[in-house]
Amino acid sequence: MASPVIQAEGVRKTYCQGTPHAVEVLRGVDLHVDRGEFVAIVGQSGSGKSTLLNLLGALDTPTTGTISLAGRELTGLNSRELARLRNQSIGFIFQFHHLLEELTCLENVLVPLMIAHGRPRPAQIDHATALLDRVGLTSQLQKSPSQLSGGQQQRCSIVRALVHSPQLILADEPTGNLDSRSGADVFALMREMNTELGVAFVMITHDDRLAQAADRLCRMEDGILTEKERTL
Amino acid sequence: MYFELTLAWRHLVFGRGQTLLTTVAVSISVIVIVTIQSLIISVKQIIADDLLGGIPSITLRPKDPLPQADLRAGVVTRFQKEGERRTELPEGETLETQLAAMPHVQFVAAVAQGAATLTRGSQRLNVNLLGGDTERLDQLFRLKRKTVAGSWSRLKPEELAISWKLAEEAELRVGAVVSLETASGSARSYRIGAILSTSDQATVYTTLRTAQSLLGLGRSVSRVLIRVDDNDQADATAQLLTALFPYRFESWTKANGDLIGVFQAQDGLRYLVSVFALFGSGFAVASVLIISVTQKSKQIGILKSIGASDGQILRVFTLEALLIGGAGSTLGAALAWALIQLINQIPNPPSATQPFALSDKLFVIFYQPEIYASACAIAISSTLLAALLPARRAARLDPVEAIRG
Repeated sequence: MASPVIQAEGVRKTYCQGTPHAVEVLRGVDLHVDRGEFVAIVGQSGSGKSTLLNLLGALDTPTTGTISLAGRELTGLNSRELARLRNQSIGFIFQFHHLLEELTCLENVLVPLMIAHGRPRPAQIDHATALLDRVGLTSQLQKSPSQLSGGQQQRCSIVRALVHSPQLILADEPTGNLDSRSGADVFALMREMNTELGVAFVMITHDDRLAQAADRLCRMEDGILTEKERTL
Repeated sequence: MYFELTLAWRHLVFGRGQTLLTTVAVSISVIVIVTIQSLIISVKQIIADDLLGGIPSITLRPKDPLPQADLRAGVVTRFQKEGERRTELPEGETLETQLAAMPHVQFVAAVAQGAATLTRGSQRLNVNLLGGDTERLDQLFRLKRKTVAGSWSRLKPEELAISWKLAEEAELRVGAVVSLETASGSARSYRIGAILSTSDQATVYTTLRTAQSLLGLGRSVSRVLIRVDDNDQADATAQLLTALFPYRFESWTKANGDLIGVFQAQDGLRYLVSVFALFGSGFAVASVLIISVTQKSKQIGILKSIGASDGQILRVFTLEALLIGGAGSTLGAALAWALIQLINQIPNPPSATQPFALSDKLFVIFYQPEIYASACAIAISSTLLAALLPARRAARLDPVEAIRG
């Protein structure tokens, strides 16, 4: 049986541990996501959703517990190995597009490949261009992010998260900064990519409609993650 | 490195106003360093040429043989020493050849030198008679270039070359006849063959044979004058020659301690100005990069989440500093060169105290590529040093904190 793309077991995260101000944000989280799954996490602000996402994305380390990405445990990896892992296996989509204003739309998409390989090869540029075409940004390739609409910016950042063919995409309220129509479009796009490319998605959202459209729905409450039955 | 270079370049282009200001700060420091260094070094060289141009870098004199009897007695009086002091060097020509082959030695001239009295009518002036091969003396003191009347290269044995100050004091012109008398009692008449712009009023130049005859030296010379390729090397060269030859070698620094003090003060000044200029540009670059890192902290967090390593982030900001340093240095060097060309155009009209200035320009700043190269290298290094702290800070940013802002 294939190992899950991401697996968290007994993950706890305490900030300011050992001080009177210690705050336990995650209190024993277990989660596994298989290839091609689309998992939505909902919960109130401050419940620990973003902390969990940071831990799953190897941006932070748990106080206790283990996280494995494609069977490889993240604990014990040094910063360089973690950076390489993020570059090769994980894609991030943020609430705000966080595209680099200094680069064009196409160059922004190529950033993960440039970090890994230096000057992008023609085949990589073709791949990025095809993905941008797929999300309807063919005419925007050479434009700077500020010349794009909010929805276009987020579509560009989705392509950036996908361009290096990661196994897992972590999306932190990807539609939170968009109007409802653009938000629906972006979510539909993520879903299409999830289905077409088989890449696993973990998405934090406050939008119940989007959460209900995921394969699995989890709720974070006071640092504890529970899987919910979908109502739709 | 492609990613780092691309991003560094785009950062600079995107923030072009900030980039321009920082580049100008670096270029100003290079302009200050190059101009001040070139000016002070050139002034030092002009002073050295003007003052040291009239004296040799090193003077070879016969060694004092101490009388054996007096050594045994343990007492040597000044008068006994004077009595024993050798004043002649019969081996002058051989020494010229040997010394010319030594390191740093540029020119050598065996000369006959001694005190004399110049008489013109009722006027009697004490002078320092110096006779040598005219070509060799020219190599040592650039006398052809300093000739303001008559001809140095065609100076005949019955002719003298005197300074313009002496000519003025004794009211002498080229062709005038004077009498020279030495301590040995010889006295003859000579014509003024050349008037020189030298500042040393007392020295009267003539041919070697004339001086040898007047001073009663026969075929001997009284000393050998040496010019080294770098006046700063005179002491070391004198020490080397002392170790190799049985003569006294006196560096020009021995009798010109005050001048050394002036030169050292000039060197101190130029180093001080350079350090202040570098601090200025260093702080400008550091402050701009610190602001840049603060402004870009979110971007740094994003890049790290995408997989950029600490080293790649460090290189992005270091390359920015390198590009600013390189551009600022190049611009500064070009502007400094142009500024020096302008300064070199300032005229220097003849004055009553210096009617025969060697140049009609107030400043003669020489083009010294090593100053430009070192100023650029130092400016780039200081820029990199200034970038180290903000670049390290950027590299160590916690991506979670950075994205959260």
